[in-house]
Amino acid sequence: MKIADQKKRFFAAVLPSRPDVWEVDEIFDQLAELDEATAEEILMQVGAIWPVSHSLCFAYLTHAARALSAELFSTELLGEWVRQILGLYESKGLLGARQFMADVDKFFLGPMRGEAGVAFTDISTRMVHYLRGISGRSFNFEEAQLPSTDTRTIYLPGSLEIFPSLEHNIFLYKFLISLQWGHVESRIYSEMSAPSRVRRPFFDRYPDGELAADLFSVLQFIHVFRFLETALPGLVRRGRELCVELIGKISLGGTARQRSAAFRHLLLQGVSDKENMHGASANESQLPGKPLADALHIPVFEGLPKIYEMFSGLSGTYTLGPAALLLGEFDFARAGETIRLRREEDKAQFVAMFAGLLDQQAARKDEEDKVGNVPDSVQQSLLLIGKQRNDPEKRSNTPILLDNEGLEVPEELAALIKAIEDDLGTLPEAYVQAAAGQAGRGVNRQEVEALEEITDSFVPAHVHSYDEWDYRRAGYRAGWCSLTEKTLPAVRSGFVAQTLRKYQPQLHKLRRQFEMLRTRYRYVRRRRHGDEIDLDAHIEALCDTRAGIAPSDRLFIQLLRDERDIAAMFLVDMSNSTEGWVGVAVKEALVLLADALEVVGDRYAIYGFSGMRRSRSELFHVKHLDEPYGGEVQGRIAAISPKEYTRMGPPIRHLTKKLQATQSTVRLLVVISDGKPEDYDDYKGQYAIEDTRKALLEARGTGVYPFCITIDKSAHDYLAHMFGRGNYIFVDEVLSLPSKIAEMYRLLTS
Amino acid sequence: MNNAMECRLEEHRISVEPFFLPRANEIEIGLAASVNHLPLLLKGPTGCGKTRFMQYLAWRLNRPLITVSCHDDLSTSDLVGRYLVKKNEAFWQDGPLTLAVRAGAICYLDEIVEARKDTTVVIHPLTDDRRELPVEKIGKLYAAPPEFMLAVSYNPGYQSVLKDLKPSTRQRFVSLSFDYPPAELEKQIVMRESGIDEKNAIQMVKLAAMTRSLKESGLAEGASTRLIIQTVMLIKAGIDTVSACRSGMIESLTDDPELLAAMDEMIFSLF
Repeated sequence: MKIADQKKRFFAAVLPSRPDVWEVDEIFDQLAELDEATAEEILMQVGAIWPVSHSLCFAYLTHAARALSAELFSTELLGEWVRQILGLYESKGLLGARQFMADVDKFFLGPMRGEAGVAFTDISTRMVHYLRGISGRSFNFEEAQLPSTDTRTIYLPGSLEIFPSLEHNIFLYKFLISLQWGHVESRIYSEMSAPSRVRRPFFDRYPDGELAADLFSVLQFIHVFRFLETALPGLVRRGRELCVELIGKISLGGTARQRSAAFRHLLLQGVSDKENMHGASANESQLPGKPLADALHIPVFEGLPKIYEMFSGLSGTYTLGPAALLLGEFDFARAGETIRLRREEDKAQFVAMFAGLLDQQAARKDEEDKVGNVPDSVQQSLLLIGKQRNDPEKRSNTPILLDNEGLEVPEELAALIKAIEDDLGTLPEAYVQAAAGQAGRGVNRQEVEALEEITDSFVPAHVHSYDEWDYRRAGYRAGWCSLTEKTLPAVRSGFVAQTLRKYQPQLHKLRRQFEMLRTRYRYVRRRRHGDEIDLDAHIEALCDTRAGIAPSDRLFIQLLRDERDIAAMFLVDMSNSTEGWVGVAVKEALVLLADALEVVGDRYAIYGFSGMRRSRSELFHVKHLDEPYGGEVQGRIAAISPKEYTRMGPPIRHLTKKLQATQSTVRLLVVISDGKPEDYDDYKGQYAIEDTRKALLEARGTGVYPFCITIDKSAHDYLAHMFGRGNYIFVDEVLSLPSKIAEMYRLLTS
Repeated sequence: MNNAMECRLEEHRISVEPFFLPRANEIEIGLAASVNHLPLLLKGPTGCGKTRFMQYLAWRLNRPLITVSCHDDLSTSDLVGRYLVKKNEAFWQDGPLTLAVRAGAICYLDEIVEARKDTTVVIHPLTDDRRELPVEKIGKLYAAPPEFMLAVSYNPGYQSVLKDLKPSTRQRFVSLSFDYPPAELEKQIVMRESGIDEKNAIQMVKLAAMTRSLKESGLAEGASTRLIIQTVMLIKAGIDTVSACRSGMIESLTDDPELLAAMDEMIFSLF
């Protein structure tokens, strides 16, 4: 009877989905073996997991029933277990979450007992910020057996359990990350990916290529270790002991003795403190002392043949054990490819931005001569810039000026030029020439033809048509996109209630913060009527009378509530990439935000957007500006679900038009998205970024203030260009999104 | 009356050369603006040397510097002046702006966006070719002497939509953009201002630069040069480096636990 009751409630909780009855029965058979209270606790979590993934929810129920019937942990820990499951699902998908659930003892209870192993996901946020801080740029993180990098992504083991204390294992992660960053900084990847080296695999020139590669790793490690000694002395001071311990684990047993001992000695030499020579580095190996020390102080490529020669005379095999973590792996082909791609992107972006700037300049300078070529004076000054910038001393302090009139280069372009210079040493003249070549070319012939093919003879009344910016020809494609406004059908579900329950503590704080925005009562002085006498005004009036001037009659202080005349529109990305945890977090964020905004009383609207191709851009209405927030709107928020692609331009232009029609003094457009704009057709890459940027600039031009919140694993370089510096934040931890969005809104409007 | 005014002005005169290291040609531009009677707009993040630049400029020009820190309750009377009563008699008291106009001093309105927009309109006639200040209450129109200079500052980093400068105000100024100085220059500034040795100065500057990289991760603003100097002062007072960096620098930047943890990692990597 009780089970039947629970089953009924289960079906109600997962509405509007209709799960397979057989599957549900199977789970409830397992639950029936537990006592009623425990089963009840397990089912309580369904509301949190079901909206994320149905398969995950079934897997959870099965594993939870098994774990609790075996009394692996108590029901009090169930909430934490679920939180970790959801976190893993977000980062590693269903498979990762299943693995986690399958071994409760190892993955869940072990760390809780204070066992020392640490999973990278537990410390990833902190490490992302840390790496961003020390490097000044963003890297992605991915899992791999041994640490390595392709200069954009750092690969690390998923978990570490090398040392007996948790603290040391976390530190080891930080140390490994810093080492990988050091490799990138040492420019070893740029050097090795230079065409001259790639042509012939580098280590093949040695008889024992594997030994040469390992020795190279050791020398490169030592090189970076020494770099870190000056760059991050605190890190190395703490890390040295750790390295010594890891190196000490190189096995010296059996026949392997000679070479292993030599590796050990070499590494210990490398990490030893120069002032305080480490005792452990006593030379057990047969390597000659002085030549070895000398070989460690010259560049890696010069030292390698010398060291190789010393090692080739030794016998035996070797295993590095955990010390291999320090050395990591070097995949120069992969890194070379990444570097090549990045340079191409940089070049394309530079050429496009610079050409755009030149066009503006040309148009300004000479109206008649704008199509066809860039005025000579501009081209000459360009070459001058190229030469000036190649002088590193001048570079750091000279602002980049175009032409003698001093048109300053926009901030994003300056940042890009700096990135290119950091990478290549100089700004290649070929880049500048390419930009000068592209500038002034005007409309691209092929595109004109493509444009002429379009015959939009019939446009239905409810369809809005919008221009789209084509950066390649620095002009608009007139009436290029059609946008349809639709209303999202509301669904009945417990989503809103569950969210409010889930975020109860945060909600309490948010409401209080937002109340402070609302209840900004202030005393306004010098009013004709008011609650109190304004002493200053009275004295002034008295003075005025004595001075023979007509006194003011504004003598009172009045308590006034500050009118917040704000209209905000939230535009939510409903593309299919938001499927899963991101989409849920965005919806939760909207629920919290709506709740908080109701407290302040600001006017706000919520729309979603998606679509496919330029002919079908769709805007989904969730809440209009003056529509009351109630059950219907809540139902529509719950109904937000991933649809198709992300063509950002048309919806931004549409909402800008809507905002223009409002009377509010402050008009805010907040775009919540999960990454790059992209559509099924050619709306991608640079084109999409430039159109979105243009749409946002247009918005700004009409007095609408756009702000973007991007959910991504790492901040990308294009964000600053697309949204404008300071007009966006990126959120890498989806769990913190709901509180971040509300907080951001509060900061924006206070 | 004139004597009293001179006394008040003398308090604002800067007699010792303030330490200022230029990043680019800001001093030349400042001097050129002064010669051509143009008002100055200084923009840049907090603690990057805007006020110090004004002090230096005032010293170079040998003019008193009258600074007004703007706030949202600042009224026009607070700038222009008001009648006061003393011994049963009403007398007029010049506000800082009037004082500066009459005496040919430099008037510096710090953080002008904090002031209400209707208040800032009072500076408009002073910032175009009229260069005059009408004072309604006493029925006078003061023409600014050639020595008078107006400068305002604001921080464009505040993301609030409500705190921006009106174009009609903005377009009257010669603008100087300030930013955190490059590492080498910042090191010299820190060494000079705090007396710390070079090695530590480099590390402190590095730490500040690291915090500035977190801006896009949700940190409102990275550590300013001023904050570095404050931290160094704590260290010199005997506080250990890590605690000094925590209290003097990173705890002042944010309350976000994740960001604090990340910045803690940075401190431990550097010291």
